[in-house]
Amino acid sequence: MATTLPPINKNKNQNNGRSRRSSEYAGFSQTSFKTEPDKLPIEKINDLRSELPLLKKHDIAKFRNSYNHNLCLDMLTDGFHMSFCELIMLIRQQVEERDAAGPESFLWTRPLIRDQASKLDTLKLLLTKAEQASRLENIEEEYRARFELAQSFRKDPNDQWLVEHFFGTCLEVAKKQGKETQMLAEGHCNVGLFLQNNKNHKEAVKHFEAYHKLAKNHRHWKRFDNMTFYKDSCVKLYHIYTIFGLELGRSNDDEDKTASLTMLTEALEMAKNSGDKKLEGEASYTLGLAYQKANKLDTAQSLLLNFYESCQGDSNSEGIGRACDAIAKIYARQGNKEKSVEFLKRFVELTEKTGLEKEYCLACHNLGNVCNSVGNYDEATEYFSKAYNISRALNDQESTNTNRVQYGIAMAHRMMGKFANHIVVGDSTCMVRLLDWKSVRTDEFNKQIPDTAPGAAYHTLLPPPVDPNMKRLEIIIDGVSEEEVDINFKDEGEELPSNVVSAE
Amino acid sequence: MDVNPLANPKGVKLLCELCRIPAFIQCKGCKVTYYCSREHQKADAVGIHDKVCSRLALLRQPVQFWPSKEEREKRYKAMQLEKIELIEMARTLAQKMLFEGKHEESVPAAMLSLRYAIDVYGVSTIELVPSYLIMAEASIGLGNLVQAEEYLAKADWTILKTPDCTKAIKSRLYRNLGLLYVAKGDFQEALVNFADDIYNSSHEFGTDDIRTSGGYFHMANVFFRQGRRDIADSMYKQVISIWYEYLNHTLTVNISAQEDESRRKSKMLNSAKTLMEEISSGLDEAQEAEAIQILSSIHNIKEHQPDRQSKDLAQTCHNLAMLYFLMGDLNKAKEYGRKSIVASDQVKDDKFSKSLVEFMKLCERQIVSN
Repeated sequence: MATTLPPINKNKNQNNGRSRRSSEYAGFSQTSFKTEPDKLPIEKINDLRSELPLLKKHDIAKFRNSYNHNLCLDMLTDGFHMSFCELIMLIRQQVEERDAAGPESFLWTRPLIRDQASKLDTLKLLLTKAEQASRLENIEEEYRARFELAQSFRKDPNDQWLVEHFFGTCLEVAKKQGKETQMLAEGHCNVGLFLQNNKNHKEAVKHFEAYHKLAKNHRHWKRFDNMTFYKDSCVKLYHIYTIFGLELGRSNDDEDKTASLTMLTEALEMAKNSGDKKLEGEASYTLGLAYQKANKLDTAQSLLLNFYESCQGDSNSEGIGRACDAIAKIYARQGNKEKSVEFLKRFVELTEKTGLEKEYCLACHNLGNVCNSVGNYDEATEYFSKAYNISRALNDQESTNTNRVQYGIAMAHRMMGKFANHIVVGDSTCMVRLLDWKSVRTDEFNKQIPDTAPGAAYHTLLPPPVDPNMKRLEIIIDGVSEEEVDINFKDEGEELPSNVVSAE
Repeated sequence: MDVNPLANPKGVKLLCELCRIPAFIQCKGCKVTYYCSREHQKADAVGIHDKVCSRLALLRQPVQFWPSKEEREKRYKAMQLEKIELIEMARTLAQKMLFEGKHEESVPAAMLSLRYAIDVYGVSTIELVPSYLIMAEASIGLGNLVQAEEYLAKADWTILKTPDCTKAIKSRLYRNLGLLYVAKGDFQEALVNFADDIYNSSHEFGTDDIRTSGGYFHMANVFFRQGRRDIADSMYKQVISIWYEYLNHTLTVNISAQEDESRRKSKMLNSAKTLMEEISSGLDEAQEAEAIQILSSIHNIKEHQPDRQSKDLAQTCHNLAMLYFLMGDLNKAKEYGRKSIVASDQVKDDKFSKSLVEFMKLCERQIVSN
């Protein structure tokens, strides 16, 4: 084997050479001088010959040649020339790649397999095994050896090209068998998985489809963990279609967007075929979101409701939460605010119960938004305050900021009506309160405005001197004052409607 | 005792071309080559002298006087070039004879190449190694293993002293060493040497080159002798496929080149008949001889092997047919073509049969047009 170098033994020699002489000259210890004139020519010749190194030419070559060289020689002497060819090709490929990338590229920092003894050893062992198997026409063995090779290189991120190469060869071997075998299906599956890992989605799709086709024709094939090939292929196809579909969806091209929708629909099909309810639900969810983006709200809605049902059946609270969220968005876009609010409230309760903090925060935020747009400012502020506190506790900067802003807006909205009222009323208490607000932001506007004149308490409106510069305001006030009042300031000259209302 | 036999000028000793003893016979053609006996003259004539007579006449002239230094240098360089050409030619010829199995006849050519190489490059230089290798191979062929070992040792030492010599030379050295060990009967050593040969040759030329195929062939022979038929078979298969690729490629290139040529010519001359140009195989004489040797011996082995795969035999015959076609020997080409068709009856590969049929048609066309 090339791994162990032969020993260099000079001592044996010298002792042999010395022993004869030491027996003759017993008095001398092992000194290094030779008594030249005493020896016969024949003895000199013998001495010289015995001083020849014990290493043979072959062993010397082992020292002189590089590890790679010795390994190749071993392979060839055992007759495994195809393995030799493959190894040389791999080494050459790596060197050429490195050269082609130019002198400054990062490829130069990676070590070559040529220089890594352990990898060369694994390669040699398994390649020779594969060749032996192929000579005996034992395709199973060959496949297994190559598969093992591929697996052994998976751990090192530098060696991914080797993994790819060996999975490819596995597939070739499987194809050699000629008929549709389990091995071929596995081969396709492995290659597809590898390509998926490397983000080469188009190729991966092709291989997974081949896998699926084979699995469909042979439903009884099972994997080592007792799952059928068919189910596995459906699942894998679902994954790859989803990834690919999402990728296409992200692009700006219209054609790609429609393609992405078709892809995601197919993903749903696959998920249904695989018989896994959870997967089906997820598929509907993704498809629903995609349709939502594409503005096809009805289809989106139906799909999401589907998802919602399946989650409820599963009592998957996180899923339900997501579903509610998405559905609510759709309702909001459709304009159906009540249903939207209803779903969001469900979402909030759910998250409160299950204690999923982040979702709870999100839920409150969304609900607050809707309330804001509807006009329900009290509820809005309530929810926003919850959201804000939670996001602070979670230390999530982004959501903290958004919640803070929204909270402020909601509070401002709530305050708006009474603030305006105070400005309008304009008596001393109001002024004091306004000034307080300006300086330290104390919110005293909810309190009653004390009357200077009886009956003036709930004056919500006094027509002020006509100021042509006042703008029109439409404010809806609820809560404290029971009436809804429209304050309309018109421009100069026009008669103001007398909207003096007194409530006792 | 040194009696100068011919009327030589003082101090000039004329030695036999082959054995370096005092010479009594002069070659009438060039008048500068001498032999000790008729046998040696005949042997040399067969070996190389017929082809190089005129060249030797030119090279062995006494040095002329030229007035200026530049002229002298120019003449000197021209002479060196001539000598190098001669060396090359001698080597190719010797190698070719070796592949044809004519070991005795290759010796004169090899000796000539060696002598002139020493003259041009000096003793113990790397350029001498190919000549040493040829001499060694001739010695093995003649059974003189001690001498062969000597030559190979010299070559090995020279290579060791030149660390930057090409892998091609190393590969040839190892090949000859392997052949030596095969002759000695030490198969394991032979295998190691052939492995080295293949390693070096693959690095230099690639694993699918015709020059590497020789290494594979010899290694396969050793395995065959050792009785490991499966390994031998797979190696033979590789040799066959390497040659198949090469010959196919050359053939298609030649044919397409010819068709262009003939199309142009027919346009120019407006003649209906298309002229076939010279077909070349792209190999020099030695390589052709090597190819013939390798493919013929594989063919022999396959023919006598009862449990062979029919595709191998068919492909071998096809290879031989293509090779003879490219070398211009059309009768043999047709013969082997027919053999391959017979053998390929059992092969289910349609493409293979089709290509054979096309090839036979090509032969016919070529014969007709000649």
